[in-house]
Amino acid sequence: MPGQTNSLLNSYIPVLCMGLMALFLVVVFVGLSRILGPQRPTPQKLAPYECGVTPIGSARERFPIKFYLIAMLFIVFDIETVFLYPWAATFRHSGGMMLFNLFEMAVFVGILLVGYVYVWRRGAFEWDN
Amino acid sequence: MNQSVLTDLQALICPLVVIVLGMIVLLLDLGTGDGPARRRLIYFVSLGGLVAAALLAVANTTIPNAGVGVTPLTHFGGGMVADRFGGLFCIVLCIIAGLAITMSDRYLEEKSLNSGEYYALILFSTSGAMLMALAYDLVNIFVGLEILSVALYILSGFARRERRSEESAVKYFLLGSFASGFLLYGMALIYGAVGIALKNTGLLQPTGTSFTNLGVIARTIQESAETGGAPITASPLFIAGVALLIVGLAFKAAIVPFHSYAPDVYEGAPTPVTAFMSAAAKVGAFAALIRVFGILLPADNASIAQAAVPFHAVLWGLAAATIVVGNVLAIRQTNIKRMLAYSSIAHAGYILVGVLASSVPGASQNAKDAVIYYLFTYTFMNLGAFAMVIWLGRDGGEYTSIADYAGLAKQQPLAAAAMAVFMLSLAGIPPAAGFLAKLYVFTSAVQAGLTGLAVLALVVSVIGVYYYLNIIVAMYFRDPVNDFSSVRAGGARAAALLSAAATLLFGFIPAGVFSPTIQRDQPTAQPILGAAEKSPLPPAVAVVSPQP
Repeated sequence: MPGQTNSLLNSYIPVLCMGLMALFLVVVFVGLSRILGPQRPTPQKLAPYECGVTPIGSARERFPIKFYLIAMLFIVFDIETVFLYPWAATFRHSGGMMLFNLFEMAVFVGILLVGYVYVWRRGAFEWDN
Repeated sequence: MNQSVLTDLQALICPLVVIVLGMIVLLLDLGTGDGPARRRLIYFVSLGGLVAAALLAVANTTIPNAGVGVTPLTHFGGGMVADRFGGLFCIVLCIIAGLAITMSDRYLEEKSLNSGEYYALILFSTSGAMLMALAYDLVNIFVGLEILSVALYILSGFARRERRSEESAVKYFLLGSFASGFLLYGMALIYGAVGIALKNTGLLQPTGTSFTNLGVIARTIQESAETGGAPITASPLFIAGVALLIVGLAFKAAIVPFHSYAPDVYEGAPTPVTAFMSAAAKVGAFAALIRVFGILLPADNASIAQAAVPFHAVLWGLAAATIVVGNVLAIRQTNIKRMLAYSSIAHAGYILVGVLASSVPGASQNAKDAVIYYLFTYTFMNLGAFAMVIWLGRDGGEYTSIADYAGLAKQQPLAAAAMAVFMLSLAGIPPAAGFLAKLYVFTSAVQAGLTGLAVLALVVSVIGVYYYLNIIVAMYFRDPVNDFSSVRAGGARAAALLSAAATLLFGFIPAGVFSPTIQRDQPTAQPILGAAEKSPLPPAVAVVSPQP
């Protein structure tokens, strides 16, 4: 279907133009500074951070797996908040579905509560274990 | 409003019960007190809950199937559908989960893996497969698939002190998430194709139209064909989307050439988990395949059928390749878990023949029933065979080499007899249910004009007889090499004997179980080959069958 496909693609032409513009500007600015600018490197200039604390050792060190657990739990309960906000913002517009919407959120929070009780009793919040 | 919410919940009662059951099991395991007694309680609560869920699903089996020409009874804003098809799949899944849990008890104790999470994960995974069978929206199919898969990834690595189990989990996770990506990408393309078509035909409603809803997609296909232009089934976006959808679902069902993970994963995972996933993942994937292809590639309209022909050819090729590769590679296996893995690949091929037949209008209902009958028997014979491996093991180990089973009949005649039933059924030899399952699937294929594929499947399944009978020969005609005098009792034995009884029962009284439509739709006893010639098929589809 050439006609349909074209009409779809036509609406993307501005996006393509903007992408090309951005690419053009970046290439011009970086290229010009490379060609025109004076280049006198010193070890200080080549360091990742020209000022601040001198780096000691590699950043790729091993660290306790407990952090992963904390990060995972954070994401789970963070998502809960992320869902609660839009729900709370639209709740008063729900009209006849108000009771239903309240129930829906209660189910959602209830399921998360089961997960919360589970990780709590399993000792996931105790750092020393 | 409240009334509709209640009917919505009632339609999904089976997966809901299973999800709540999983949460109860998870919380029960937190209770203080004696560990083994608590595990025992969890074991029986899970089994009892699954029986209840299966009984509740029976109510759904009276609702007519969704499909072409039938306006389905949808729920949750059209996103879910409760019909006979979905209800029967829920019952199969309850049986799978029930058998897998039944055979786990001693095995988990001996390997010190016995924890509440195991049962909860099996239940959550089952609920995901159920949602796939009841979904009427591509997004819901994807969510169900992820619920099924994520739990399976964890379960396959459940014996985390064993390297093989770890390897199994990592392989399954990496390849599985990749396949999920394909599936999702395919859905996104179909969403685009449907949206464009609705916009161009001026049928786009301002709000509340989900472009991934199967009902909306079906209507769009129909209307785009009626308005005179090319149907959206011919648009490049749509074709690419369906192709990616096939890749994603074929991976989960372990269809050649997306099967390569299966033997390694099945071998490494704990045996009850292997048993569970060899059935549950396939059942979920096939439910989604049948549901989606009945809608996306309807063959009842000539111009749409024309566009669907390449995909019928693709499924034809996949089914043929799966049957051949599965059977041929199974011959060389010496490990029984790997042999059963390849055998399950071959069976996925037979089921795919039925799925392909179900997208042909004249044979659709028969083929769906044949596939469901096949999945029921496959569940019993396949899970039964895995239960045998657990039953005959001891001290946390199990005999995985086929040669280990030599002379079993002299020491454990009952076990050998049960194993013989499973092997005969898997091979498709008459007294067992596997024969009738193959008969129904191949008959429906012939009805759908897929005679070539049916003949190929029949010929290749004869190869299968060799490696299944190999085990029977070892058990009955070789001298013992291992001492089977003390084997595990408990759940694995119960699961194996139950499955053996069901396999035989299905073989003897199949008509009473649930093949009413298979008989009703064949009013005259005409020869099946003649039926294929007379069937009112659109020529576009009939042409596909002779091509390899």
